[in-house]
Amino acid sequence: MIGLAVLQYVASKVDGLEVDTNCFYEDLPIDYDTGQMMRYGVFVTTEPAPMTRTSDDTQYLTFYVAIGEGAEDADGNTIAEKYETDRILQAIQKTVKDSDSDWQALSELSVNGIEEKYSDVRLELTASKQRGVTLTNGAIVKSIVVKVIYK
Amino acid sequence: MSTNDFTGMRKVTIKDTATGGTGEFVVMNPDKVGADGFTIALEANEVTESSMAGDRVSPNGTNTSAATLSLIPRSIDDLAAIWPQGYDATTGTWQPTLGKCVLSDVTLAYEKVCDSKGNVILRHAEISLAFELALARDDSFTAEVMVYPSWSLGSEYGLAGDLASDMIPYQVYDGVYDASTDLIDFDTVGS
Repeated sequence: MIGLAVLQYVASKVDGLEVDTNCFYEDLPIDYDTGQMMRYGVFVTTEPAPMTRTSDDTQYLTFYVAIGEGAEDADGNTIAEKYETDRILQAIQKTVKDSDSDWQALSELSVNGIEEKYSDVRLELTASKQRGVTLTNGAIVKSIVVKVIYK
Repeated sequence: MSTNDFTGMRKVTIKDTATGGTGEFVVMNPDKVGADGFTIALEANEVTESSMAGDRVSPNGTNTSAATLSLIPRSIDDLAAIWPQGYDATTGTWQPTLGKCVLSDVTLAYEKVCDSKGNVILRHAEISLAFELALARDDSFTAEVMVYPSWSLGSEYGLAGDLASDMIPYQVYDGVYDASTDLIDFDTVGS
């Protein structure tokens, strides 16, 4: 569940993101009858990262951002979906970049409500933003991959 | 869960002890320590015996060589913090100067920030201000700082018994270095 722990950390740093409201872990809320996204936001999925027997635990996490119709800012004003997608990705990127200065918070991460703790968490960017698929409603999915090293 | 005590995010504390242990100190936090970190190697001191059968080389001790410490200074203030001798407060400039303008007789602690395991300390070390100034349009400036270990008595590293009178160049420890007292609070052994 390191992915969820990191998602909670990142969501706490980005304006407008809230886990379970618009941030989802290993879950793409798709209506399988229509193929439509039922909710928009940030979706984190787990990818394999190179590891050795003696290395710290290492994991790639892909943050997919999909903002569809009806995106609103904090004041309820309609905003351009592409702009909002990019803003969120940029904020995630900044959070990862700045994480070296936030080692107090990252020295121990846990998932709310779960006892398991992850210590000495280090976040690294592996690549910049990538354009993904276009959803049936025209929303564009973009993603960014983050490397997580932890004990 | 831990697989290796030596991995993890690091900070570097440099304390100028030349003024009798009350000197200035600077802490370079993890965002200013390069990913390639700190490299220190002891070389073998070798003797060669020549005989009819040929040369036989064997080690008879250890020999220190310069260690490298990878730092990422982000401003002139950072350079001034590492090498106060090169800093001019009036103009706010930093410049290397000729001669033995080194930060001499410093304590240098390379410590984890998330736990107290697998740390390294050098006492009476010297830090040269010779490094490559490489500025690029799209890459950060990393200073490969040269650190010269000195052989010091084990007692200065807080050791008693036989090791107290041995000369050692650095110490690997579990514990926390306190720059204000220049002492290490060692972890309880076995914890």
